[in-house]
Amino acid sequence: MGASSASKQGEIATMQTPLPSELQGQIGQRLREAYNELIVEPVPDRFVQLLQQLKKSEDQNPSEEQGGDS
Amino acid sequence: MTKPADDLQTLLIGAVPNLRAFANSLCGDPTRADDLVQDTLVKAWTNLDSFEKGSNLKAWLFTILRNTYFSELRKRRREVEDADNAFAERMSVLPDQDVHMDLVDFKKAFGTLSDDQKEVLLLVGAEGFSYEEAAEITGAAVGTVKSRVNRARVALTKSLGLTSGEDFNSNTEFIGLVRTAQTVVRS
Repeated sequence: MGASSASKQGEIATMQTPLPSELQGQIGQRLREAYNELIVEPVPDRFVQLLQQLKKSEDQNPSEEQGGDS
Repeated sequence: MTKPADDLQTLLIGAVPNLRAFANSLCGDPTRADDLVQDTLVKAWTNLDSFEKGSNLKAWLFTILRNTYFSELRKRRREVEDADNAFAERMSVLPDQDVHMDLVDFKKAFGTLSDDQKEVLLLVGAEGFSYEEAAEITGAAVGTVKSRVNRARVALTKSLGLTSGEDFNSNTEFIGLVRTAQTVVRS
């Protein structure tokens, strides 16, 4: 909330000083943990269906590009 | 005996979990995230001839997704200036009992980063793209990407109240650098 104004002060110093590797590691680990929660979600059917549809419409109507059947 | 289209279908489906995770983390709205992924897949399929064979398909897909996201965002900002605020507050903090408290805190802190910072941190820190690849995906200079990543990390460290034993050392190193610089200037 008020964090953005507080972080402004350190802006100049932080641009040159990279974060200590220990902290980088901590941040990175949490980031990957949070991200992984999303990655492991199963792919919804709508995307499988969408790609099947795209493929089907291309098979029926290969006007722009030849698929190369042989 | 698969046709190119079959391969592409498999490759695109294989990329969906990463695209969804990226979109979700970026916009914080699962419904919108899935719409972004859908747009990305359609654009990728129909613009396949603009993809350079042998280059990184995942990087190409991420480029399409983030370009779609940011151009939509610009359009929205023009339409409703306020929508942006509501949008930023809607972070993907899902109620989940299994999640550690610090992960919930992390997501909240992540939600306060700017879009520019979120984007590069996700590409480099979560997806494992190199700085060079992230620069190509975002259309920014490598140096810009590096400093955005660093600023994002520093902001997260601050809002999470993380501390390190290395703090003191890097600080003295920094002061040392300033002193060296001063000496150089003086002489």
